[in-house]
Amino acid sequence: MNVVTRKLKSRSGISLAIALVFFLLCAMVGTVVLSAASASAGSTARERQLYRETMALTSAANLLSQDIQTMTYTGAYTRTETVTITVDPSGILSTKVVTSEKYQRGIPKLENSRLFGVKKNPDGTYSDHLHLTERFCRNQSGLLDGITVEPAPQTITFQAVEAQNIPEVTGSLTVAEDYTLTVVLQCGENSLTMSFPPHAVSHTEVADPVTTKLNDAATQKITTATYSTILTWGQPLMQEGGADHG
Amino acid sequence: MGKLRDRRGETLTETLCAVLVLALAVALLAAMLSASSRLDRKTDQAAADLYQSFSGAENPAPGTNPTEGTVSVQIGDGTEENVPVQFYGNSDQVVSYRIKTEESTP
Repeated sequence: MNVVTRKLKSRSGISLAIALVFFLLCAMVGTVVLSAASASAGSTARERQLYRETMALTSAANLLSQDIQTMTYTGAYTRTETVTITVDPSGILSTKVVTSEKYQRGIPKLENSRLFGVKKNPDGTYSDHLHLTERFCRNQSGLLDGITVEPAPQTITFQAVEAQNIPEVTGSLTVAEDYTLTVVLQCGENSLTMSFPPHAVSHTEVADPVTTKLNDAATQKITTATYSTILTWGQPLMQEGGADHG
Repeated sequence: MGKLRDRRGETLTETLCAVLVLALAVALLAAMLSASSRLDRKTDQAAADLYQSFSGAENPAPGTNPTEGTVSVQIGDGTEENVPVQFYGNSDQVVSYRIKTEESTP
């Protein structure tokens, strides 16, 4: 305190001290202004990256949505019921019913999808990525029974081939028991969940009963019924985030 | 008030030093303000370009000529499908893509 008081009452020069204080003040003000400008420039760079991620995610979601909504899946199922009626010598009727079910193979299963269409494997066999084969059933209302085992999620990766400053988008696709397709996409810190509800656009049943007299005591009636359903997926329900899409 | 009435002055050396320091301080502050202003203008321009590019990528204006290319979609472990797409927006900023359709082909 004495030093300050002495300095205040001093009659000797003060110019140099004042100049140094002013210099310090200018340096501080300049540093603060420059730091603020640098921070602003940095935030624009971060914002650019965020926009790139958002746009990459949206583009991948649109591409996938467009593909899934044009996709059709045809499943066919044959049910054979054999009823044998036998009359024993005492005149008593007995009936025996045997039922067998079979999924039809060899029909186009997944069509109009560039991404999930049936692919020919190097060994000559065919496969599709939705793993819907042999799980296609029918119920009385013409809609679909659920699949019995939920397949493991399929991973999906979107990457622009050319250098377009588009970040990679990764995700997974799951087929639920009711054939709802759920896609979770992620790019950087952004994620998006899309649920595509299934619709049975057509359902046909063709029954062809054939009755045969086996002998005097037994008659057999074989009914072969074919059920086929065409399935599509509608407009997706979209939800930001991917952790708790359920 | 005593200092103002004091008839004694500083030495010439001290005064010259003080003037030199003050000049340096003013020059430093001016340079920093100028750099800051330049950086600010650059940031504003970058932000404007970014918003314009984002807007163009999200809702391309009619008549916009997109760049054609492909997006590789890998499903599962191995299968890879190259989908022809059209890129919209500025490739230095923000770019979106859409499946190339027959209607969109010029």
